[in-house]
Amino acid sequence: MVKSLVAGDKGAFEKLYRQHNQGMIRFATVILRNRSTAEEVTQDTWVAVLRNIGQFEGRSSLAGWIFAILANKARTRASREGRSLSFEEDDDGGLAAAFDGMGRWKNMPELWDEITPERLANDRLILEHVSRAIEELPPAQRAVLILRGQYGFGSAEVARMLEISEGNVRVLLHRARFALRTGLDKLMRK
Amino acid sequence: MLKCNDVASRASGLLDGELGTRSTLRLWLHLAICKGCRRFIRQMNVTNELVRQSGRAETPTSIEGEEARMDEILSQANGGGDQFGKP
Repeated sequence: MVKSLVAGDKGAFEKLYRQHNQGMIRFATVILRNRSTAEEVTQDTWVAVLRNIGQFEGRSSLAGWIFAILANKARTRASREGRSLSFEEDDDGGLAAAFDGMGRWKNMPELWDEITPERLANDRLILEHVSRAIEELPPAQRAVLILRGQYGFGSAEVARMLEISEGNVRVLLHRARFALRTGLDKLMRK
Repeated sequence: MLKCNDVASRASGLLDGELGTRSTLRLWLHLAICKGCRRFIRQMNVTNELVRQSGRAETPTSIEGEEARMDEILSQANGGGDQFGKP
């Protein structure tokens, strides 16, 4: 892929673009809190990626390199416009509220035996529920969840992209997952 | 002995393989005797899988206007007439 891009292969670019463009816009929208600015910054990122592809050294994945450029551009733009995203939030995703004073579950988690890995791929309703629930997460949790949970970048890589500590990445990721699972647990009780 | 809320706060670390041996063992000890937490860990696993899949589901193969956008990116990247990627 990288060699094809360096050689100026348009087909390779189109493949890469189709693979990542929507996810990039989704991530940039979280940082910039504005879809059209996010589309603009994502487009600028692609131009920078193509211009600088010769400098890609393979120290991270190609997707990781692209998202690092995007995160940098999005953060710079957000800061210039005075709307930087705070990663110091206090929404714990409902973690504390799920337990009694003795540290025991207030509501015993459901078995979820109706969700099996085989069913997951075909269950549009559940996936739509999850997509909506992700949109409702606090922005800092959503940013981390997209990068760690959906793209699978490592904690250290995400920490560099967002300029926060690895510990902060872990906390935000856990809160996001916990909030999503609590929403799904409520759905399963219905 | 860990309590259920301790298990819950360490669940992501367990699933991501980021806990040390000692913490992992303490957690498994709790899981051996607690049905609620075993269910919870399974739920977190399923949630992770759903998050991964929802990311894939939202990446369409084609959207209106994308061709034009790709052309614009290529033309900007090629700025001075050079092929992209070339210094």
